[in-house]
Amino acid sequence: MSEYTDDIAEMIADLPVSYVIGVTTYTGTIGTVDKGNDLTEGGFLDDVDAVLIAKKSDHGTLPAIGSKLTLDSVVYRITRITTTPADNAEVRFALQDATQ
Amino acid sequence: MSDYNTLEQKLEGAAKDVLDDASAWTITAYTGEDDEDIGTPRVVCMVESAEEEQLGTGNWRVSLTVRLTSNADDSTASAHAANVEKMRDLFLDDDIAATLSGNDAEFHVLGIYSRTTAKGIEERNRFADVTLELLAAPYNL
Repeated sequence: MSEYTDDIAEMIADLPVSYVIGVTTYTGTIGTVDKGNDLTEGGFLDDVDAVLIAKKSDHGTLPAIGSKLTLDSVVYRITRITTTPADNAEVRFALQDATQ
Repeated sequence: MSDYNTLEQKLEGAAKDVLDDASAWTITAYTGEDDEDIGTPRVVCMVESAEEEQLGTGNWRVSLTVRLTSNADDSTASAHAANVEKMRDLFLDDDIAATLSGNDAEFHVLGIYSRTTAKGIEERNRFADVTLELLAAPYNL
């Protein structure tokens, strides 16, 4: 295991959050959550963006872009997936509120 | 408030009723100034402005746009297209002026000038519009 892999594991252990993709529960850590609520034609639309950091080893098969992820009872949509191919340590899920 | 000052809202409400009253329509409809929490799929009935057609007649030229928005991850293109077809069938109906008039006792559509459609993509959503340019009066005839 690389030092970077250890760092990611320690970061997740320090600030763990549980999230669910499909029926599987994982543990990661949340980088940023940016919450807003926009008034648009028809009503109020949640505008929430977040970045979730997870262990790449937990995700042998990455979820599809556009699939849903539940975190703290909020359903998000995965809009981008960032990986670090060189060391295979980390995966970052860019999330958006699923109602957007 | 004078009835003249709420023509846009009356038309939006009458258009929403067209969708709510259609048994085959299952997607929640909103008016432009609704303040509920919304998501997708949704359909919004919007009137942004009205212009009196011949000053002093009390008849107003109004543009009504009904927009269906569906998330592309949650629905297929063909499912979205099927809902677009249902929505447009309701508003491109030959009797739409009478149907809208019947949905509000203090509102009357005298005729339709033009009908247009549009569609597009916004972020991960598909949307489709039907727009009616119509002549309406904010009272019953």
